[in-house]
Amino acid sequence: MDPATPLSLRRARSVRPSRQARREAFWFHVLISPWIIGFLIFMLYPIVGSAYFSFTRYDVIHPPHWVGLANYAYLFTRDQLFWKSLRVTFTYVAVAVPLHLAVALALALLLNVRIIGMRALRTIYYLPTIMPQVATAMLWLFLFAPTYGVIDWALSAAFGIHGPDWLGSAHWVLPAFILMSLWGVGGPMVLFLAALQGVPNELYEAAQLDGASAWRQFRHVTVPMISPLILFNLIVGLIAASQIFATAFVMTQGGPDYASYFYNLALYNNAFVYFKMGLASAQAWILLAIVMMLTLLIFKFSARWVFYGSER
Amino acid sequence: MAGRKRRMRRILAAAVLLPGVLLILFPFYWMVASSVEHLAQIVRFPPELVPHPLDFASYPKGLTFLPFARYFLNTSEIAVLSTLGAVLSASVVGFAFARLHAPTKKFFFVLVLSTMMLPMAVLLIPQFVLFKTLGWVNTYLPLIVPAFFGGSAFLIFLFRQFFSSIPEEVFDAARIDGCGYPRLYWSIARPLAVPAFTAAAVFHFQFSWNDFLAPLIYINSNSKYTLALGIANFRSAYGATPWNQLMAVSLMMALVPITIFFFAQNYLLSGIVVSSR
Amino acid sequence: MKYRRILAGATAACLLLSGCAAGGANAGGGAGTKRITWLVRSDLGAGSAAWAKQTAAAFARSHPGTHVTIVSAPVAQYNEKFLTMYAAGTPPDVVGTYAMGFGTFYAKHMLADITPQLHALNIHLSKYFHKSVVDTMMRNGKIYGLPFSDPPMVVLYNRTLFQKAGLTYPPTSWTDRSWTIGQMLRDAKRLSHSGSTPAQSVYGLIMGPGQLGYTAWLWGADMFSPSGPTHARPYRTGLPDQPHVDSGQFLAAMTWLADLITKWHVSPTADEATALGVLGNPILSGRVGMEDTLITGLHVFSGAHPSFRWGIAPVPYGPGGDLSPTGVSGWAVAAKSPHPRTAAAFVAYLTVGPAAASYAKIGGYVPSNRVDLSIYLHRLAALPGNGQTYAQDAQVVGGGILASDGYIFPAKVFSGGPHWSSEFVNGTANVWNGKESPRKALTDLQHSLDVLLHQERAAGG
Repeated sequence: MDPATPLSLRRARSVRPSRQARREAFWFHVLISPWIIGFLIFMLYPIVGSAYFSFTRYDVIHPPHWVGLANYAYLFTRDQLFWKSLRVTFTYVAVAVPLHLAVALALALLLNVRIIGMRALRTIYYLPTIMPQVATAMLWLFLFAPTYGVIDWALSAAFGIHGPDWLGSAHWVLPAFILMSLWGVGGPMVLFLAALQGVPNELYEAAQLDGASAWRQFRHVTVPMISPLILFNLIVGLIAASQIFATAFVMTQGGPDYASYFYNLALYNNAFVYFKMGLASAQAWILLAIVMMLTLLIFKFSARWVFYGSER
Repeated sequence: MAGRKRRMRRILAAAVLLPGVLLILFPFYWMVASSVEHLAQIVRFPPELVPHPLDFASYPKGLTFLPFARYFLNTSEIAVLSTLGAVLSASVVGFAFARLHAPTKKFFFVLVLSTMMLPMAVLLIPQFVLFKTLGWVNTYLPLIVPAFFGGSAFLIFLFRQFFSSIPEEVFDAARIDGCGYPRLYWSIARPLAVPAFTAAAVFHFQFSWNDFLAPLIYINSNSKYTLALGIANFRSAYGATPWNQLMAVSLMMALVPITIFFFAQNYLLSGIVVSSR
Repeated sequence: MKYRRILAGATAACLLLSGCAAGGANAGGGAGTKRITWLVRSDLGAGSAAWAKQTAAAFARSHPGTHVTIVSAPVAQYNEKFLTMYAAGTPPDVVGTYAMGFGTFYAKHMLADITPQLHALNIHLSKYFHKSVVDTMMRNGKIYGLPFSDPPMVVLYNRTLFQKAGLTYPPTSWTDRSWTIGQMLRDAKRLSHSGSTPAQSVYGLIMGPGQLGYTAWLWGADMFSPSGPTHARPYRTGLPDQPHVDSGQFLAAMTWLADLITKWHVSPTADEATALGVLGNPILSGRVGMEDTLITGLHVFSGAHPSFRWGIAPVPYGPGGDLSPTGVSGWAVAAKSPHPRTAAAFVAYLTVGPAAASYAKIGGYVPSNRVDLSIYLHRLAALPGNGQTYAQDAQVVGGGILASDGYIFPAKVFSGGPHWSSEFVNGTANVWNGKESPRKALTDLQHSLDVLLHQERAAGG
């Protein structure tokens, strides 16, 4: 990237009259207006509604009844499962999100090499992402089955050992979910692949002329050039992982002994099974606050390692 | 020397990727195998690696149970229209976030992201009430129209990141020529972001194609069902699920996004043809 | 300019969409027609779906001026569909109690009292139902729905394995007191053997604690009553007040069940059993000797080709008797239904009218309505692999319905049933893989239930 870009930009801006800035701001609002309109019509009412419900006792059947901060107080001080589900979820997030990034990037680099049949290979590596989550969950139920499952069969055939009883063990159920989530790494992988195409070859050629090793090329050319997509996959991965639901809903229902009782599972149960929509709404807003805080932190620190063609 | 290096990389890639293929394809093989077995064969433990005898009856049976053709057209209508809307609108909005400056930009961007962070479960009921008020229940409108208004936060963010990585000089040149912002988007940014458009379209299409919860909540009539809804009904209570039919239909359903991805690759990997010199 | 083309495209798309919307709104119906909506489970197979369609049409034909719209959802999302429709002020008029259960619906005032409508229709319930079965949908003398299915618990066993082990088959009479849990365990030990590979080993018995541990009823214990469910207050009010999982009998029951796995090795661990059952009933593997199951579970044989013969037997006597629940499901009218009379007439049509008989013909579903029971029994006798006679089956099924004495699955009786169920399942999870002693697990469970019940009371129900 041209290091002079920010400078030239700053120069251009200071020369521009403020009328120009206002014109730009005007066009900004015009261009994002579809989203603003959509937000006002389709999102605002549900969002405000759920915020309101979070201060009420609301069983969906009867009108909501205002209880102030009681739901929040209950969650933080008395709910036996709130902290547990938070711990389970963010343990999962802390391991799965970085792991996804690393695996997706590694696969993208490998799939970016030109060999015969690469189109088919890429499609195969993307395949798991295409299957509906519920079908995938059923599939894994089979693979993880103790004694009869394919994983256990493979372990005993190859190493003569028996695996843990994955989904039946409070210790192994989270690792099982993390392992399984790698299955869906095709999405971020494809984005990395696309981003890699945007890295100009000249940069690598120049680096090679300087005698840079493969690792240095990766570290100083590839990573900076695709950093906007790394940031994207990191944040989207965080948001998605914090809301993990469908696989746990089908496979474990949160068990055994609540060891896979993910936050969204607890929330769903409160909302649609236990008739506690008010409590569920409070849970939703607490999750939003946590994830938002993490996201803003990531953005703050991203300035150091994310490079845009446009500088802001 | 460069040639040798390149060969090394190819060998390394093949050495890692090919065994991985087995790992990924095995479950798919198992699905295909199950779809041509009798129910009694599927239930057998340990599973037979090569099904014998082969029985293709699940395909006609499963496809007529749904009815497949009808649901296929329904799903296509929803997926195509909502993808069109999402990609068009999200790219415009994402462009604005990437390339234009305004004092309110940060605020709006945080708002966009926050819509992804609130779990769907608590929005479901107020959203349903809203669409009922609009008279949209049991139509495809709740599944399509919102896509035209900014699509999804996910796609807006995606476009923002792609548009951000285009070097500023590309736009500067056009600005000097007196290009307005709509022109900058359409004539400069859009052609440079073919991979982003492709990725967005592939992702959104697939999401819409597989979406289960929204159609379940908004669609009442059986004749308006989508494939995902139809397939859910194969799962039968009391352990009487016809797994072979379920697998057959699931595979047929997945064929569309698989084909799309296979051919979309060219555009996805066409690269941003930008000369930054 | 190209920019305009997008606008044109978008406008065209909007027009197209509004066209679709108009088409949807115009569908069906003259003025004055009483339209009711019927929320059915969609995951009961092709036969059930076809039956629902025919039934809706037939009802409209025989009741001019009415129209039944079917709305369906799989059981896992039945509540979501019901609650969203309810919250929007347009509940389905007729709902099934199979997903959430009668107890919660009643406690939340979601169901209409249809006593007067049934009176007006001049239906004599005693002609069709055992009193105990109707009672499951009555509160304070008012009827809130009618049962359509009443499957008892039975012991399903592999006759071929029994024969190989030289064992005599279990009896078919529920009053035969020689059929005890002791006898069952002796049989299970004889049936079990571990082969050289897991694929060859045979498990004698799969028997779980059941929803909220109802298997403890055989020991005269219950999760919320110190002396089993009979005449216990929570079973009358639908509101649990005190946990009793630390009682001696409850502990004895759970210990006996855990011993099957960890001490006698006649049962697979809980997750092995789940694995065996991922595709269907574990008994289909041919390597399970006996299993306690709801009789609807036998439906799996209709599509399978079992390589063995099977039979059904009563639930054995425990130290506290042989009470076990039935899985009663019924049709009810939603409290906010705008056409309660039409809806009640439809409920009657479904449970004692022509639709009840046609439902029994699909097979798999035991009709509550005893007039139609024989239809079901004929289907049962014809299932592949059934090694018993019609009369033997009838004795087990009929006896089971009587023996349950109107006690249905506790999670369907209690308000908040799924919550208690989740507590029980998670609290005892480590017992069934031998990682925790039953005593320790139940002591902890007693404590957490105590706290929860206290909080529920404090929150005012």
